[in-house]
Amino acid sequence: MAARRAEYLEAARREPYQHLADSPTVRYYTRWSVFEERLNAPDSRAYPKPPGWLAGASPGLVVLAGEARVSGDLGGLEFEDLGSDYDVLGDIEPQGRLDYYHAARLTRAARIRVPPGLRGARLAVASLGGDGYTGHHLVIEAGEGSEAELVLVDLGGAGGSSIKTLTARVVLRDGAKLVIYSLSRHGSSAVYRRINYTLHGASSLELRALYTPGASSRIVESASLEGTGSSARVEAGAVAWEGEWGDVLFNAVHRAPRSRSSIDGRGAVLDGGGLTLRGVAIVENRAEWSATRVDVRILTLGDRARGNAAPMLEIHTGNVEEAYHSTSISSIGEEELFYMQSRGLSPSEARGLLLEGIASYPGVLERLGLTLGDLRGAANP
Amino acid sequence: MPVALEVRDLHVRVSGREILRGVDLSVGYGELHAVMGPNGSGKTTLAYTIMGREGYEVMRGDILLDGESIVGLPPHERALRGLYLAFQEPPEIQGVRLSRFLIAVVNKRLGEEDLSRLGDPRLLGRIYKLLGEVGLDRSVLERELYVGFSGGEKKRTEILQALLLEPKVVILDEPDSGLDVDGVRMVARVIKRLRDEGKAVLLITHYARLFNYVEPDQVTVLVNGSVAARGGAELAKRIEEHGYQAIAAPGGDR
Repeated sequence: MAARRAEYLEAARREPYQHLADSPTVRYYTRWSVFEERLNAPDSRAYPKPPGWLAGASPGLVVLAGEARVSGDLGGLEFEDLGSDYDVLGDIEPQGRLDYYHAARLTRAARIRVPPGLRGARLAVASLGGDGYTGHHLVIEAGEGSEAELVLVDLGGAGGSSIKTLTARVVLRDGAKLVIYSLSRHGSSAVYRRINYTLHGASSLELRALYTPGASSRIVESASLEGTGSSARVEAGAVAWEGEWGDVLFNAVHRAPRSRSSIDGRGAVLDGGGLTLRGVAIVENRAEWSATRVDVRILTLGDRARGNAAPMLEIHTGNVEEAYHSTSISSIGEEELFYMQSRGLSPSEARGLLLEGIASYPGVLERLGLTLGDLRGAANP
Repeated sequence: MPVALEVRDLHVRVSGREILRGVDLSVGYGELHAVMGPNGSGKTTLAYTIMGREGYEVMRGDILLDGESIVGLPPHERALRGLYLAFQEPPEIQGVRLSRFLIAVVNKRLGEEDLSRLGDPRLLGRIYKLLGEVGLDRSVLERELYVGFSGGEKKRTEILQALLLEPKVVILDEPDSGLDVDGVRMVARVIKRLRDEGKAVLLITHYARLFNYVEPDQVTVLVNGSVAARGGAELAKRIEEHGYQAIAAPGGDR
């Protein structure tokens, strides 16, 4: 075990943070320097309590911190604590320094299974960052014909030097339907998050995500559509306040005929913040008559707000049902402001509504009964 | 009828160019006043100036709401005093769903601190009812404001807000353009209703086809930023039959 960790640490020192070709362009959107400064952080010793608003999110709750804890009614879902010695790289193909680093320093791993045929199960999972380094890994398996809803809350740690890594392998078997409401609040942490979804048979994934990055957040959500007729739908919102920097990348790879994917991302950046939203869809040769759409848009609210939006389609078959992509980066224009003022909103209320609107776009705040203001207060320990 | 909105000798400059050159008009409560004119005559400039758009500089003259000047007020304060402008081409507001927008603007009028929370659940019922009246499907509420809306959906949504917000003065900027016959009838029906409810309605229009369904109390024709003619419904009819050249003809109330 120790030997494997040492091997992974050695690989982490050797590997670059990212290989040049891992993004639609060769530019670096992630602030890797923030991670570099924090790699030697000690293991976290103190963790915050789960936010109070999480208690009502679902009947059952799994909390990952220094250990894994389960409470409430799991409603037929199966939970397994995989400990801290789990070999993450058996689930996640390493792509750079932080994957090896994560595998070497993992704090806790857990598995959640939705048994075949189980319907209507709901569970909340919280991954809490601590005061130093925290690493979590999740294995989520949705069995054949099952239907479940997960709330995944991913919070960064406290203090100005915390670092967190979170990976997950999510597998949907034939006919499974999985809805995930995902909320990220990274505060002052540096967070590396990578989730891979594999969709078999005619399974369907609906990911509704709201991201609020930390000092530097690298978030990658990748769906591999392996089954004929499988579908992945992503609706995401992201808000970066001053001092926060987020790089969010969605991938959808179509590997089977008549598979469908849609990626709709909306981001807002305030003065002194930075946000990148990227959506990449690849339709392989065998994925005939598939449909894909990528639409990512960023609104900058301030002269010192930095926004990047990049969609990319790679189509390797001559027969697709639909292939659409669109992107925009805009600031609030005089015309939009005048329109909202003409309805009685002051300029600051109009900006606030735009911000709240983008944050509410994926429906995560509504699902959790929160406002953006609640979130800021609750997630800044 | 008491005067709701009065425009006195209004001179307006936009980007250094004088667009309006001494416009006078007024509209009373329970009255429909049509402002007509060919393209580029200054109709939309008049609407934007009344609403207080930045960059529309009042060089001379005044705009009064209930007898008080509103020229120095920002647009949102004019709106809260009871002015409403239905835009000819409203802008796309990305990220803000229509439902959230409507809740916010109603909350603002109710003085709610939190603009985003649905305080009174009866509001949704009212919005659903109005959607039916203007011919929109409920699904439109979940769409981002005007993003991907058809021309007709935009017009209907602007009309819906005129009904929902219950302003004192409603300015409709080309509300029928891009609408089919059923849409034009719906707009006429709403105008009648607003007038019957005692609202002051300022209707800006290029064509007179709306007047087949609702008769204006007053008509003012703008040409090159000035008032070229005034009259009643008969003036609109003359324009419909003979075009804007008719206003220069003998007998015109210039």
